[in-house]
Formats: sequence, structure tokens, C-alpha cells
Amino acid sequence: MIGYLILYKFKHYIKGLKNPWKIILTIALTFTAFIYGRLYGEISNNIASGETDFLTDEKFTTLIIITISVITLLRMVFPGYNPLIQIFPKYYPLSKAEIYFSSLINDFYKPYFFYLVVFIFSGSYYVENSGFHFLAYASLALISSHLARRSFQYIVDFRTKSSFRFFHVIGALAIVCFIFTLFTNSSCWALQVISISAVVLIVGFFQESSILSRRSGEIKSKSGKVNIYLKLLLNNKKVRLPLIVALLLKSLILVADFFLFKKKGIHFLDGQIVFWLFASPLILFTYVFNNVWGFWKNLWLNMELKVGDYKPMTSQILRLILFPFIIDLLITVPILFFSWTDYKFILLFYFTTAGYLIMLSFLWSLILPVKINSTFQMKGSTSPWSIIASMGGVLLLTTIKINHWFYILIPLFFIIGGIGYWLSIDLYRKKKYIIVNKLMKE
Amino acid sequence: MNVGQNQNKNFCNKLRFMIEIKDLTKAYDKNKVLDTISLKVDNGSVYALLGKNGAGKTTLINILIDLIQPDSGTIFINGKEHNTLDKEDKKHTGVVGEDLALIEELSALEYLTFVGKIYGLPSDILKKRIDDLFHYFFEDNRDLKKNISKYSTGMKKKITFCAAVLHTPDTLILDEPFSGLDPLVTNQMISFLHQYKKNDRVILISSHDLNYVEKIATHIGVLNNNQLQFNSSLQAFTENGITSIDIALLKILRPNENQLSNIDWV
Repeated sequence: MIGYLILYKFKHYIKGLKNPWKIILTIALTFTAFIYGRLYGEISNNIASGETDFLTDEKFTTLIIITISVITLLRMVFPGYNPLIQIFPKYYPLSKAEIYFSSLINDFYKPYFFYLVVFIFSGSYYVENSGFHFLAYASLALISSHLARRSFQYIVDFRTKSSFRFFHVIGALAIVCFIFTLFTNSSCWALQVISISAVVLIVGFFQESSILSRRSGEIKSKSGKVNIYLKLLLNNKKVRLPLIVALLLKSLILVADFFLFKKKGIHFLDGQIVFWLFASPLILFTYVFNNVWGFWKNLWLNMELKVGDYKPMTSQILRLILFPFIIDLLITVPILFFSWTDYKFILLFYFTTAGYLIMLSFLWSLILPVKINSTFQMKGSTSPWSIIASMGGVLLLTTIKINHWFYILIPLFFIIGGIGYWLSIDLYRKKKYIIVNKLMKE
Repeated sequence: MNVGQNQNKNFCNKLRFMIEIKDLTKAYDKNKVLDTISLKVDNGSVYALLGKNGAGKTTLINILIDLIQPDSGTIFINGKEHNTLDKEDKKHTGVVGEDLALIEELSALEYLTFVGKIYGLPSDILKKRIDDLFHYFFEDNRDLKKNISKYSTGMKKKITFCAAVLHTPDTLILDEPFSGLDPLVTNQMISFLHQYKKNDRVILISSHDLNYVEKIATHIGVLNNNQLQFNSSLQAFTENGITSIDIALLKILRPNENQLSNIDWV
């Protein structure tokens, strides 16, 4: 039965290749995955030959495996939350094991896994000495992290019987062990991953069994348990991509600065004030949050029709900002700590700019809304005036790095932010028509 | 009946007119859309606003719900000037606007729960109301957990309607509530509105669907040439049922039928 499923899926995939663009894309992506595998192999070989003194080839391999695991886990919520799918409804004459394994195979039959397998094989071919080591570990990490993802989703998607909660606890513990294992460098690493994968696989089977009676056909509906503000971020295509690009761009610059400092003792852009524009959360605001109502027009319209007061609307903005801000904080502050070590300046600078940018985003979203027609639009997704004001503020605050007397600016920034907040609430009834005129007219 | 509903009732019983418009004028640049419109909507009535496309019905409704500023004139909703309504006042109003205002990133359940929480409905009451409305308007319960972005136009309209009545407002303003709905659902909505209509509530509907309007309206207003050319009861409009509602409307709007003979290529 499972063999037939694989054949059927393969046949379906081949039939889908009628479109020449799809063939070209598949070939291009396969080639890219292959090239990246080779790149991994060559970098790993260079590190092993002693060309780099701050990283060993084992550490580099662990880093790659952790990346594979984290990305595989994050596929649960990026680009959108995908609930578990049962490909055979319960009325099919199949055993529980067959249903479980068929749904697993269906999961693995995705382009994502195909390209990663190409990457892993290519990498293990080009890496000298430890090819099999990488092949085994990376494949296990890929499978285990997907199983771990499924275990999480059983809990999120279904309210299972209390008698099966035991398996959820075991599953959760196995996942914790699995994540911990990725960070260890033990000699029996493979044994740990295999045993944990086996536990997660078995737990997954019992979890699947516990929810079989609750499923009817193919379940595609979204879970109601996901935080709505997270859904507002993840399910809004015009927001999701700019935020990912912003965070990636920022991470790249910070990581480049970190490696440059570790390797050559110098900083990216010489650590000049322009660098600090990227260190602050500015990019989130110039890309998205200086124009919250432009991206979530209907959220504003609901709040206006049902509340009509700007104070509760600012709390909606705060809830939307929270999740990306936490990610930004988790990326930025640790990297800056490693590469700059001036903790006092980093914390004061980061949190002061964050406060200033958040408070003023309430005002910019009200008085300078921009209609969003496409994900990346030529005229920009936030008002140029709001960008200038935000950028100017952050640049001014970097002066505290030049002279400690400029620390006096910090309270001033909070006062300006407070004024922005107060103005937005005070002006709302007069200025809300700007939002209607700019965002609601065809 | 809970305390909130009692207060609500006492508040509304003091007023005779829940919607009162005086000398309302609105122009876009030099194009006048509404010219000194005045009307009063009594408690317990269902007021249907009729008119040609572009007559200004949606503009009038958008002014009522304070999305557009009028050039002159005053509007009172539940005895308070429409642009001074606060959160508590807005709890007495429900709106299905031209823009459905659905948060499409969410599922219907999440959206209705969000709306209910904005209005401060207790969880148990909110859950019961969502269940009741959903069972009445939808056939498949799984639709409740589907993202709204995957809904058809009719389903979106139904969810907007559910969100507008969830908190049982005294003033219900509906802009084209029947457009995009199949006859079955439209009749369901009409039946719902019949049950919803009470002496301390008012419903204002703008619609083109005359057959449905006839089933529910108690009063008719006809907007034509920027002015309210008719404003009275349904009986007066149909001359106590002698004239059908569409004929009565055509008498006021007077379409240019002579021009049809010039189109000889049809």
C-alpha cells in the first residue's frame, strides 16, 4: 500500500511537470542545492586544513545540522501555519500503522525535503574524511526535527483524550532531549539522535492513534489556538515577506560584523553611525510598522466602527509589534554583546530607540498612512517623512557613543515618544479621515 | 436579560428617533452628492434607503458611521452627535458597510471572537451567540475554522452580518446586505431581521433588491438627484399595496425609456 502511495505521488509529480517553467525551476533549484552542498564540503575541508582558527570542522558541521533542524521545525509556522493532514480518512480499510506511515511519507514527499536531501548528499560527497558522518547526522536531524514538528502539531491541532496526555509528555521530553543533543558534542551523538528519533516516531504513532477517531476526512482547517496577532503577521503576505527580508538583512550585517571582528579585529562599516541604524530595530519600522493601518486596514476599520478611540488601537499595534520585536531583540542583542562588549551602551541604545520608534509608529500610522498594493512597491511601504524622522532619531542617539554627555538625550527620546503617543490619541478624531481617504479609496 | 441590556433598553426608550439627520450636504469637489438631506428614523422601524447607482446611498451611510465628513448638516444617533460617539455608544450600533471590514488573516471563529471581545461580551454568551449564528447561517461547521480569505463573497457577507448583530445593537445599519447572497440565505437573513426588529431597535438598510426590501421595510426613503425625494411609510409608498414597490420606485426615478428606441441595433 505504501509502495503504491509512493508510486502514485511520483506519477502525480511527473504529470505536474508539463509546465516548462516548473521543469526549469526544479532543475535550477536542484542545481543550487547541489552547489550549496559542494560549498559546504569545501568550506568544511578548508576549516579542517586549519585555514580558520576560530571554528573547527566539527563545530561547522554541527552549525549546519542545527540550521537544518531549526528550519525544518520552523516550517510549522513559516510561511504560514499548516495543520497536519490525514491523507486517508478513517473509513479507509487501513490499519493505524498504515495510516500513520502513509501520512509521514506524504509529509516527506515535499520539494523542501528533496532539495535538502540533494544538499546533504552533495555535501557528504565533497567533504573529505567525514562524508558518511555528515550524511548520517544531517539525515537523522532532518527526519527527527520533522517528527518533532509533528509531535508539536498533534498538541496544537487536536484536543486528545486525557489518557494519551502521557504520550504528549514523553513526546515533549523527547523533543527537548533532541534539541539538547544538537548542542552537545558527544561521541555517541548518532546513537542519541537515532534513539530519540525512534522515541519521537513511536510517540507520534500513539499520538496519531489517539486522534484518529476525532478526524473526519482531510483536515485542512486552521487551528483556532494560534495567537491571532501571530496569524495577522504570518497570514498577511504583504507583511510576512518584508519582515523576513528585514530580519535576514539585519542578521547578515550583524553576523558579518561579528565574523569581521573575530577574524580581523575590525568592525563592519568601521562601526560608524550607519552601522547602528542596522543595530536598532529601525528596519522593522521603516519596512512595516510606521504604517500599521496600511498593512492591516480592516483591523483599523473594525476598531473604528466598534470602538472609535485610538487608545485601544495603540494596544493592537503593540501586540502586532511584539512578536517581530522579540525576534529582533533575540538576534541583535546577543550578537552585539559578542562583537562590541559595551553592554551599557548596547542596552541603552537598543531599548531607547525601540521605545522611540514604537511610540512614534502610533502617530505615523495615523497621520502618514500609505496604501499597500503589493508586497514591495516602488513608492515604498511607509511614508518617506516617517522614515526620515525615524532614521534621524536613531542617528542622533548614536552620539551617546561619541561622548557620554549625550546620555542626556535618552530621557528626551522617551519624552518625544510620549508626545507622539499623546498626539496620536489627541488628534485621532480629526485625523482618522486621512486613513479613509488614503487607504479606502479605490 | 442582563444588566447591560436593561440599561440599553432604558436609554433607548427615552428617545423617539434613533437616527436623525438634519440638512446634510456633501459634495466631492464640485460634484454635489447629497443636498440638504433631512430624515428621522423612528424606534421600531426598518428604514429602506433606495435609489439608483451613484445616488449617494453609500455616501450617506459612510457619513452616518463617521467614515466621511459631511460638508454641512448634523446627524444624531441614539441622541448623540454621530462624530462624538465613544466606545460605549458604539456598542449600540452594528454596521455592515460597503467595505466588509473582515480581517481575512483570521478564521471566522477567531474574527467573531475578536469582535465579541471588543464589545466586552462575556465568554459564555459570546460562545453561544457564535454557535447559534453559525448554525443558522452556515451548513458546514468546519467553515468556522477556515480562514476568511478562503470564503466566497456570500460567506464573507454572512460573517460580516453575524459580526454586526453579535452584540445585539439597537441601531443596525446595513449597506447592501443582500448583494452576493443566494435566495435561500437572503430569506434566512430576512427572517432573522424580522425577529431582530423590536420596538426599541431601528434598522437602516440600503439596497437594490426591492423584492426583499418589501418583505422587511416599514419605511422607505428614495434618494434621487442628490435629494431625498420620498420619505414615508411603505404603505404610502405603495399606495396601500395598490402599486408594487418596483413600479412605485420607477415613478420617482423616471428612467429614460425613450432612449431605448434609439438603440436599433439590439
